[in-house]
Amino acid sequence: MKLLSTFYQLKNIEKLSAYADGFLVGNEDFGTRLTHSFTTEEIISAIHLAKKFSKSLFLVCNQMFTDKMLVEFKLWIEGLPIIDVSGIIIADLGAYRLLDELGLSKKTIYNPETLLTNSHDFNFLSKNRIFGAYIAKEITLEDVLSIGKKKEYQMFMVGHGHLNMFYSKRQLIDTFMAYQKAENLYHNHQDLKIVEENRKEDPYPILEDKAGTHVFRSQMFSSLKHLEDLNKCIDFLVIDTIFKDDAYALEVLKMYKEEQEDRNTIKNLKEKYCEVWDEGFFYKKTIYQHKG
Amino acid sequence: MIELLAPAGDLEKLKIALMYGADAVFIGGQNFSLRARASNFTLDDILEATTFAHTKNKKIYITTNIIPHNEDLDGLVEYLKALEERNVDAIISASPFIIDMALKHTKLEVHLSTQQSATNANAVNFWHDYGVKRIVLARELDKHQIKDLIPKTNADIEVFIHGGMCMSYSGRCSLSNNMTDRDANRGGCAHSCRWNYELTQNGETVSNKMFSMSSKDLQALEQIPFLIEAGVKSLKIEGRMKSLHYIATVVATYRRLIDTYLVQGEIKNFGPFLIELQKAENRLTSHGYLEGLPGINQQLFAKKSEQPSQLFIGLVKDYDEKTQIATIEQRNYFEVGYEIEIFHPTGTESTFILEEMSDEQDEKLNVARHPKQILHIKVPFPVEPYAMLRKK
Repeated sequence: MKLLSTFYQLKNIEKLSAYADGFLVGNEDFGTRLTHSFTTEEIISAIHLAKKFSKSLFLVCNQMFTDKMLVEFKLWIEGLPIIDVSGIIIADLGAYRLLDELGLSKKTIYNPETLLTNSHDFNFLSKNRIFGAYIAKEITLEDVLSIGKKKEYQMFMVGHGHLNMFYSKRQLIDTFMAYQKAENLYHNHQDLKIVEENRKEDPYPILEDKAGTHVFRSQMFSSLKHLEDLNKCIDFLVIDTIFKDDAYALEVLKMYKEEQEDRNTIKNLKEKYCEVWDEGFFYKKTIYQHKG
Repeated sequence: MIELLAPAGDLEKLKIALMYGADAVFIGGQNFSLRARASNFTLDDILEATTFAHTKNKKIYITTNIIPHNEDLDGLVEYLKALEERNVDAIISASPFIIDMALKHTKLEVHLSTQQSATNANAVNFWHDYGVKRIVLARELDKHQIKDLIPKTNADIEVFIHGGMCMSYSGRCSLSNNMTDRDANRGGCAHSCRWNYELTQNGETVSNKMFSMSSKDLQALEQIPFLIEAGVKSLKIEGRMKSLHYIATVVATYRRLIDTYLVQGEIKNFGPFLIELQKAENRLTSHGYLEGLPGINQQLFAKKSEQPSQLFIGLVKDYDEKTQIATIEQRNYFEVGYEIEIFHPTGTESTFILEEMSDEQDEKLNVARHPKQILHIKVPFPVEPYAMLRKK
């Protein structure tokens, strides 16, 4: 199982390379929920740096595209040294089709967030010869392992981070500020949370970026206790550091790489970043509410 | 020919939708369907539905639109074959597994659910090549994007024109899963996006007003001519959990609008259609994404925007032309002396003053106060079963 990580600053790739096997990087025109929107030039630098340190480099292009955006996406992809890119993570099958036309299906990783929840659906693009897919976040560990046994391509999973639970195209904070006749000073800010009136103990990080508005789980999902199991089926475990920083990435990557739960480190991280860790849906089955 | 597609939560609503002008109705079966709280149809109900619809040369689509987990897959093929045996005209699905099984084991026509959020021609063509005949587009497209997309595909395109809006890209939201353990993609959506929130920055409140992610419902009266000209094949009304009166009112209004446009080639005044539509128990409405990215006028900031209606007071069950006595089922309070509007399945309306009323035992009544009570009232012109009584 390889460890991938997001990051905030190019200069930290070298440091993070001590523990990460690869990196995720994106630009706000095509990617969303990014730690940072890297310019095309920075992305090209990241590709070169990853190559220099013999690391994988994945492009995060996980927006939902309109036809017009796909035209722009094609031009952008064609301008990158794509041969040195390990994979392109997309959420939209229209983007897959475009990448296929460009001869890049083997670099495609499909991440529709919530949709790949059973063995068949996880593998449904296998005849299209894509590189891999992300397993949905809302399933149990038992289901992850079961689907993993039957995987037909590389299996990706977010192993650590604030999992996204809502993706709207609407600029909801901007609209809220307009409603109050106030200037929107909060676009692309990573220090915002929303608090539901009956769940005050669970503030949810919220982000408005170019692609829309996103709400995340309040707890930090951690799969650190389950690496032995996950090693059996997950090919790429992603450490998503959005809302944190590269120092956080370094500490977390070290533990995952060494497969060691360092209690002091965890305690310090929880205190410093004011976060609660949990195991997401690993042991929590959601309800198929058949009746009433 | 453009199709008007309506929702129905039970057989009575299904018949109402078809009688009031829908060309097709989509319903949920008891398996593999979202909207678990809608009263989903048994296989016997589905047979009755298709039989009723086909005698009117209309269609029935079954939603099999859950995103299944491993444990949900058993019995799928048998269920799909049972639907085929009951002559359903198509299924609406989002899961590749369900689509594959339908294409492999049945001759059922498959429509792609909006749960897959198809937002571009490439995605539409991906699914069309996969074997899906019709694509329900994501609600996130504006009318020009829809128009530009249609010539790029051979797939039939279906577009939402009325009803509730998912705030997230459909199928990509797990707010409900996380906040209530109810799986939105398996029929349990708790509409957590419609709750009230406080927006904070570094723990400090940003505003003393509640932050809202709730949307006004979609209402696309003025966009219908554009969508017809763009080549949309099916115009879809959402709301399998809505009332009989809502379905009748919304369906009849769009039916009349579509027919008027097809005959006259233009709609000079949308006002009467809007007035008619407002008789239904709508939440506040807007055009959603159809005119571009939604802004403040497409958003709800008050906690609730339901517009409860007491207009609907009864449903006609029968009419005796000799005595001019209609048998009706009471739905809301009314009294002798009220001016009452009869809303006919043809979409037309006529009014009268209620002069006499009695119960099933022929006891004279001045007031109808019991829901579902069977009553006899004098109506001075013929009315047909399923016509509705509204308080003027």
